[in-house]
Amino acid sequence: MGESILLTPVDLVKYPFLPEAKKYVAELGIDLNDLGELESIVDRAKVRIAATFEFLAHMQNQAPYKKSEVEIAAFPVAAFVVAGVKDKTLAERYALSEAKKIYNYLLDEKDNVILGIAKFFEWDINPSKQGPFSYTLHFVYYLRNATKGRLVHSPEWKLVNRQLDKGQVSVTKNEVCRLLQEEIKNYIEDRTKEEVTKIPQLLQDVIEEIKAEFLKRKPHLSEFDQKIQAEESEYPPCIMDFLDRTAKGQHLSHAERFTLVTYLLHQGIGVDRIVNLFSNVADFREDKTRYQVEHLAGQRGSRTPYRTYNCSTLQTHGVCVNPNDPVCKRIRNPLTYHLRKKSIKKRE
Amino acid sequence: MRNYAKHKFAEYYKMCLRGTQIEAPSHLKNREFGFLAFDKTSMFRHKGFETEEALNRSLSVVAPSDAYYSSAFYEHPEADMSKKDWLGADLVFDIDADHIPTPCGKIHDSWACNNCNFEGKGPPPERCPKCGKEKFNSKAWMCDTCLEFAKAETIKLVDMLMQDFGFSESEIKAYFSGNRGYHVHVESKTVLSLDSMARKEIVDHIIGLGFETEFHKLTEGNRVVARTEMPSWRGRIAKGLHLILSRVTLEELEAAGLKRGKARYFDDNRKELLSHLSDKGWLGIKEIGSETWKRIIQLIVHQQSAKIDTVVTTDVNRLIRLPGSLHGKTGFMKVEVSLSGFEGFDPLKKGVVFKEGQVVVDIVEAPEFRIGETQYGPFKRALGAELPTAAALFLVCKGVAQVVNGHV
Repeated sequence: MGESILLTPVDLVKYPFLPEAKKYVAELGIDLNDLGELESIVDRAKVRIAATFEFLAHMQNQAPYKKSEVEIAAFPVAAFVVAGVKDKTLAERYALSEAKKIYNYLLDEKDNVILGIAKFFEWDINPSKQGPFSYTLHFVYYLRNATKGRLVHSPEWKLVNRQLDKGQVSVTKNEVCRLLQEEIKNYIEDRTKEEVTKIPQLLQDVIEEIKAEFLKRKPHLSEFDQKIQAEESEYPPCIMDFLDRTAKGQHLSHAERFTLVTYLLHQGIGVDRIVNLFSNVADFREDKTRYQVEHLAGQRGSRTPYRTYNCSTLQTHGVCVNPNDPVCKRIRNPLTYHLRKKSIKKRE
Repeated sequence: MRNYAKHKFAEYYKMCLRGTQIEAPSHLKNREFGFLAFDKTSMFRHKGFETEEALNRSLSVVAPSDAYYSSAFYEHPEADMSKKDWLGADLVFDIDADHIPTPCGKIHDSWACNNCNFEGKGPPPERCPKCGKEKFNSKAWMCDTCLEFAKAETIKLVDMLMQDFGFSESEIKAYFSGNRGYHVHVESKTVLSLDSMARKEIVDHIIGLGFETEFHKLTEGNRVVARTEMPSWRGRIAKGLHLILSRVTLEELEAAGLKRGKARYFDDNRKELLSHLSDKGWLGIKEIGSETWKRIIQLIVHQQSAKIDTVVTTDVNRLIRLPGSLHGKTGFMKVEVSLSGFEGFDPLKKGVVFKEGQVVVDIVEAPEFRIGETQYGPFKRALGAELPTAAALFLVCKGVAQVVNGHV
């Protein structure tokens, strides 16, 4: 990672993921096995994690602990505990909550701190004064983050709508902070997905406690886990069109076939039925089609089922049938078409 | 009848092995290769080579109809897809006349109904006009017109890669694909780790997808402030506006959604508008409201965007044709085009490998085509036609001719 910046302990409380914070903790001469003694650190770590779901709500609004070393040390402990729980959703939510907090701190910072943190992530970024823009950022670092989280869905973050000159994207200070939020979220998430070994007993107890509390609440937290499958009459216009053309034996492009098959698999349609759908297509070969469908279903190869393309990807490949469909305008992925349609109907 | 093609391809790859070898891609040891054989329908994938010589030797033994390598680098290029360990990928672009509506398609492309053999010109219809069935065998040809269209799109693309994205000339390599288009490879450390989503954003920028006027500060009040020297889409819109004022037809304006009256106004006042723009620095024009502006700008975006194959660029595990190899549908070579010499590049000359000898062929049917300086055809049931090797090979690869025994 890039060069370091001069930071005070007060700064390290705000940015405990930086290597300087690690160094600071190391110099205090405590290691994870001794932490059992340091209950206040563990408590602060628990509060950090609990902020990601409604647990220990009464402690959420506490100011950072008065001793900065406790607050700084609580961050690696919290990351360690989250890694110990081994739940992807918790890791993501934890990383997001830490990154959002940091975003708010960054908004009040001067250039040198913002640039320092950006350089830690090796960004190619430079101050520049051009109208509302305070920086230019190389498009690679811009895209790495502008295609993540919610940013990917807003038109003002699309590269085509930015000033892009010789590889440099003009960005405002707020935008840099927002992009850093994504970078930091990613960085923390990676840390909380690391394999943990040699867990001290006290932390083992904390891991169990957090895990139990989190699993209790998890079903309410993730909307994508909703398993309400669509009836055929509720399929989105693109899927209807692909189905219709397949039945007629017409050729579908790779992107169209991928979308159709992954969509149907997510709706719980079996591999056999899907393979049969293609039997009218010229040069249909059952073995080949079956292999491909099973691959997309995650029964072969990487063993992970493929997710249906987002609507924006279908538009890029020119296979979106009707971007002006009133329901389509309000969804990001064909998989949620029927859910959105139902919720619109309910309101009417 | 493709035996002749296989024989000539093998001859070419043996010649390369003995002489100037086909250059291996950078990071050879981390690339996956795939060869399509003449007599097999499937691809030999997951091949890897340690040296340029090993690659050339394999090509001369297999004599594939088409040879590909991965734009990606892998830790284990010969492993199954899930165990390859992706390390990064070059940024690649494909521009193919198939993706560009060209006026010549109606002249040289044809289709035949699989059911009743009824034939027609251009792209296949939805249903056969004779029997109503929907399966066709279609043939796409290449000619100067569609290759020029593809070249124009490639030049636009390369310009964007340099001006907008800041790639240097040494990072960009352009090639004639050997068939109906061009490939552009960007090899730069900075882009290697970009994922599919980030590449999709690059694609959208290039094809102008999702462009929204309000984010580009084209106007201030009634004044157009975009200038041709401005970078990226802002400058392109300014340039496009000049172009539209001098060239676009009334029909095109109406097709872009302009009301007849507005389109007429544009059409009738071109000269005035143009001089207005150049003299008074883009002073606002009362007669054109914001909705009309938006439509005109969308038309400009469409004209100024480069029509690339979106799937190729967003796929981070793509196999792309190996430069220096032959194209199984034409017998032409995938050959590099220098960026400075693009305008004058003649693919139907530079892509030719076999420059000597004559071959006697029976030709079923072929539209007019050119190779080098010579124009051939059209042919209809031409038996025993004597053609230069490259022309004969082209027709054999296209599947419309057969070499007469004893005349190879």
